[in-house]
This record gives sequence, C-alpha cells and structure tokens, in this order.
Amino acid sequence: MKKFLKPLFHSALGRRLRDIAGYRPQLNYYNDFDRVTSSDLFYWTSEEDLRTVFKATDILGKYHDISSNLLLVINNRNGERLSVQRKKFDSENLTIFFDDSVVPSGQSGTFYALMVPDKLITTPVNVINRCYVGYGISEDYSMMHGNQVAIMCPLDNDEFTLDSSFPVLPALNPVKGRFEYFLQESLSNSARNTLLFTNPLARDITVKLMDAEFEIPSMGCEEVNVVVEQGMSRIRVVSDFLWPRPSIMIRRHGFIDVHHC
Amino acid sequence: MFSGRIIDERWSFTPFEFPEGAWFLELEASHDNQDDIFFLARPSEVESMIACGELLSVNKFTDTTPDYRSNLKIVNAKGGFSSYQAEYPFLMMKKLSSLYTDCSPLTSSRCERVGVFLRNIYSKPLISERKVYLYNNEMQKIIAEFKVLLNSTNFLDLTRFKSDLKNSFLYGVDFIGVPIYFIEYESGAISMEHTHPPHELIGGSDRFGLVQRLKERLGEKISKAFVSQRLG
Repeated sequence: MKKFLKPLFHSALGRRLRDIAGYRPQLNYYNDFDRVTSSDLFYWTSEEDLRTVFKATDILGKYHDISSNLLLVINNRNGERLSVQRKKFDSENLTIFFDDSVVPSGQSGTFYALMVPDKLITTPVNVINRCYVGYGISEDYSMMHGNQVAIMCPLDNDEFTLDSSFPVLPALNPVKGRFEYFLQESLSNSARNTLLFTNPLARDITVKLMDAEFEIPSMGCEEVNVVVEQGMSRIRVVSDFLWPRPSIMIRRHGFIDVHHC
Repeated sequence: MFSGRIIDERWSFTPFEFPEGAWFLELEASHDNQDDIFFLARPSEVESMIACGELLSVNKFTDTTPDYRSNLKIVNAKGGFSSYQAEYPFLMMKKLSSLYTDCSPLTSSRCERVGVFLRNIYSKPLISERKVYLYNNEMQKIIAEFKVLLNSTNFLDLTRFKSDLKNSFLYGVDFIGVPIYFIEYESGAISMEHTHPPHELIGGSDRFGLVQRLKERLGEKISKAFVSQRLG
C-alpha cells in the first residue's frame, strides 16, 4: 500500500489534492526540473546608515565545470524591477557591494541572483543560490545565508536567453490558505527589532503580525518594527502565504545583527 | 531538555526544567559547558541511550518544517553581538566522512579577528583528535594545519591568514561538523553565521555524487600539497 501511495503523494495530482485539503502542501518545486537555477529573494537596504553586501559562489563552475554568469535582478520595495545586471565569475567567489552604482540610496527592496551558464546546456544541473547577504553600518557586515529557495529559472527552455526575457517562476508553492509561523526566539525589549518579509510569489500576500495586517506586493518587501512588551510570549505570524518566515534585524547601541528567526 | 557530555568515555545526561509556562529556555555558555550537547527527549528515551552507550534518534519532536532551531548568540565586551539559528542534524552524528568549507563568503580581511568554530557531535562517546587543513587555491598549498577534537567546539583562529581567506578552504579528514564563521570588526561589531554543507547548494538526484566527487578532487589537492610540502 505504501509503495502505491508514496508516488501518488508526490505526483502532480497528489500535490494538488494536498493543496486543496491543506494537508502537508509541498513547500517548493525546484526539484521538478532537470535543468534549473534558483535563488533566494533577498532583501536589500540603503536606508539610514545601512549598507548591503552580497557574496556568491560559482556553483556551476565548482560542481559542473560550466562557465557562468550571475544575473542580478533588483526590485524596489513594491516589487517593481529597477535593474538587471550581469556579473561574470572571474574567480570562484564574487562580492557585490550595493553602493550607488547598484541601488538608489535611502531605499530598500528585494533582489535575486541566478547563476546561469554562458551558453545552452543539455546536461542536468540544479543550482541553488542560497549564498550570503550582509547588512552593516560602515561596512561592518553582519552576514546571513539565504532564507528560502524562492525564485527559479528552468533552463530546459531552448529559447532561454541571458537577457530579461528569461522565464522566472516562484520556487515556493503559491497555494493560498491560512498558515502560521512562530518566531524561534524570544526578542529583547532593549533593542530595535525589525522583521524583514519578502514575497517571491506572482501574487500579493497578506501577513498578520500582532495587531498589524499588511499586504506585500509580488517581489516586494515589508519591514515591521516589533515592540516587545513585558510578558510577551512567542510571536506569531499568520499569512495566506505558505512560508512567511522573516529575517530579523536587531539594532542596539550602534551594533546590528541580522539572522533568520 | 537534557544536556549531555562525555565523562570517563561514557555519555552522561543532565535534565533541565522548563520554567512554568515558558516558551523558551535560556542557557548561558561557560568554559564548563562549551562542549555539551542539548536536546529534547523523555527520560525513558535518555535511558535507552544510556543502555546503548551512544546517541540515538529517539524521537521526532524536532523533525519539523520549518526546521526546529535554537538561537545561538555571542556578545563581546564592547556590546557587539551576533546570533544564528542553530541545529545539528542527527544524521551528521553517525558519520565521519570529510569536511569541506569555503572560507571566502563569511570572512573579511578588514577585521580585528576572524575564525571559525567547528562544532562536532559524534554518536559514540569519543573525544579523539583529527586534522583540518587550510588550503590556499592561489598559492596551491596548505597554509595551516589545525588539530580538532570529536564531540567538541573547536575554534580555529584564522586572523593571521585573513588576507588569504578569499581564496582558501578548510578540509578535514574523518571529521565533519558545522562550520560557524566569526568576524569581529575593530568597531566591536560581530558577524556569526554557518556555511551551508555542499549538498545544499545543488539539487537533483546526483547531488551527493557531485559533492563526493568535489571532495575527492579537493582531497587530492590536499594530499599532493601535503606530500610536496613535506618533501619540499
């Protein structure tokens, strides 16, 4: 029986039924393709005194010996595309400082970074760019790895090109429902705590946190300051998005720490 | 909640009580407990580990989506702080394969201090020594050799190599663990984050095969450099 049920559970029909029933919906789809490159939807900021840095490893080169570029797509906080930049891997690692040449100052938004081969390939590759993003004051960066495998670009399409016409899809399940996430830490009331949410789906999402409810546009972001009160227990996030796990930026006495929570 | 440590070549466990109604238990690190492990289990499950003489996967309480994690935070005298969401998967406790971690992404040459905590947990109550090599791709040589211990929190101070870390990696033989990189800046600010294991950077059915082949290539580099530097 288990031998029969397991393939059904993981089939397209099974996943659809699970989504409708709200029973263990599949989280992401990046393993559905033989040739795919995927990325987190990272948050960037140049607001106040903050700076952002991104560090990528040439995964295609290291694991598959395939020459590649990094396609950096930058959006504003409303999810509107600001720029598409291509960076060549001339060594195993690439560091991108989000200065005025990359993003406008005094703003925030989202970005994703896809590793794409120089030319069309036929061998199976599945690249996950979880890499590392850092936020800091005066370039003293607090580093953090990717939060979720959020955006993917199947490379199966023979018409795939390296310009902005590449077919990007959400890698996360867009199923709509009522989903809860509890922050896995207790926050201090002696610090400024800001939760950072990004939305990689093709639709807007709704998020409820304490007394606040807000919508995040597709590819956009939202920063929510959390005021920690005496006796507050755990913090719950409720959303119609399956994976509403934020990152958190904690600031105290001129220092900053960013991590997933 | 239990803590565990090795005493006289055997695992020894101590229970903690959760304060009534609390969602989180806060523990402070010290020199005494820095190599301890912490986990959630029932007393009967702990007794089964004592009887067996090694760590076991006794329950599925922390087999959750999203992954069940604790918050591990460090602070310094200047007020700088950093934390990351920590876990140590049980499957890693059963293995003694090879460690590979790229030093570039989570280090910086403009720092006061930089290093990596290599935390190992092995199911058997062994505290034995292993070697970890720091290899520089540009120079094509081993630039440092470190001794690490199983079932310990090992700190590798990489400060004197900070200008070389952009093109370097760490490689351990018969040793795996979670590499947690640490940067302390002159201002007192801190960064702390772990690198992903190689198999989490690629997907597909052959990902473990790809990782194995990568580690074999890197292992050959280390071996060649080891021999040539010894003969040198």
